[in-house]
Amino acid sequence: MAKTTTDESTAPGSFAPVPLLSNSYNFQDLLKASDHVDTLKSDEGRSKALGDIATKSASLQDVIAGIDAPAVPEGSRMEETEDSTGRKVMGAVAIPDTTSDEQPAK
Amino acid sequence: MAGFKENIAALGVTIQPTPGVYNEPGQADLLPISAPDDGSDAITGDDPTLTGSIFAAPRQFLGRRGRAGATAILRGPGGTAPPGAAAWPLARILLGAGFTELINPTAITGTAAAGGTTSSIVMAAGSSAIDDFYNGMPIQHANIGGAGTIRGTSLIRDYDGATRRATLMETLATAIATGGYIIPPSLTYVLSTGAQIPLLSCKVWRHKKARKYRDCAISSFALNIPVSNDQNTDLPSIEFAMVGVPVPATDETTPLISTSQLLPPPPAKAGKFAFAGLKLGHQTMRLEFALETGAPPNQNFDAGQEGYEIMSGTRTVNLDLNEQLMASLDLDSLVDTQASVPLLSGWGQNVGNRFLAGVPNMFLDPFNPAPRNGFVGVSGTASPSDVDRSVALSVIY
Repeated sequence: MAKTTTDESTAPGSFAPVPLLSNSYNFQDLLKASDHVDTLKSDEGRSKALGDIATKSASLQDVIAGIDAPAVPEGSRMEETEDSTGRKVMGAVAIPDTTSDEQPAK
Repeated sequence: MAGFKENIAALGVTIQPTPGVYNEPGQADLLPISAPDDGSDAITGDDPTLTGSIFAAPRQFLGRRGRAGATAILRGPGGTAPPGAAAWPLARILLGAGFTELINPTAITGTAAAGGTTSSIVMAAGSSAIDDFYNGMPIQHANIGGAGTIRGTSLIRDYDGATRRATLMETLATAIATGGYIIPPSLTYVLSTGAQIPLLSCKVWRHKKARKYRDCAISSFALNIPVSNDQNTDLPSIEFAMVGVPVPATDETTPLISTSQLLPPPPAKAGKFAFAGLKLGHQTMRLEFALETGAPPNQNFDAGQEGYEIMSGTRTVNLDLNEQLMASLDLDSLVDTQASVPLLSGWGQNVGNRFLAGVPNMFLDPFNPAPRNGFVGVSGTASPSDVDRSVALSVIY
């Protein structure tokens, strides 16, 4: 079945630039950006604006990718330990090997 | 143990960037207010279980709905230049009520082009080509009044990008044919469509204890501008109330409001008032929003719902004008023809503590005689009609 609905913003179009905070705008920025608003009317201007937005999104992905969890080596697990100053921190601790090849006692 | 004194109270409000996460107000977020009205109400459901008694089973407690409100006497943020985005605590109430903040930190100047009238100015070449771009912004010109004064400042009612003509919310004695104009530095609030309204966090201290509310939405708002004089000594104010989700209260001593947050509130006099372009006498102008709030249901949330939002609202202007001769102002004709009428009110003398409030277009209901202090007044209501930028409040620097 064909998709008949799309996600579209119903926000008013009269304040195009990104707000400073919620619905707060610097009027001088709006004035400078008024030409940019006009370029959005052309396909070329629109694709440039969308390109700018895509670039910003990509850089946000880089930021998210950079926030990695600390690596835990194989055979270790994260446990609360003490660092050199005696402060309690989370760190990788080797899991003790509790298996052996011994035969069970008969 | 000493009691809690009701005069020792304060209210702080912040913009809450993350839904569900309370944003603690601090000293800089205090709003000078009269006695606050806050608390929480029970959300309950009926339990239809029969118990063998004639009496119904006790209601089931589902949670609490928080509310907070107060009256803030209108005083500006002061300083020599407009503060930053939503830095003025009262701005957060305005943003929460659906206004958009336009900060103009520096004056925009130009020379009026030919073609201006007594109610419009043709702005200089290079002005924005976008329709309605300057709507609600203040503008100064020698024909409006004294340079740099509140009487010399008007609000832009409408702007045509193709002709660069800015219509004013008042009618002047002399047409603006030429001469310099200034769009002064200002903190201007224009009522937008309300499609995007920020959430608020609110904290109310009463002597040694503080109640807190998150995910708040403004549920009622009124801008009250009574003329101050011998027989009426009230000051302009903003009345507001909000609903939200209560956050556990804490024991905290009420903070003191700093002197810089307590500029003398300017009375509404020695300014200007124009109705349908005409400067005439009146006693009060009151703009009211009745707002309907609600929260989308969501079982994944502890409260069974998401944060509160404004869903719909009505805008009403209440006016108490002095009775006028038919030859001066034919109110009945304006009502019968449903003519679009502008309204402008300006008061205050000091930079950062003087105001212009305006409604660019409104339709009138019938006005009726109402005795007032021995004189005949006419009172009635009007409905702002613009979809976007339907009300403006500007703090002039």
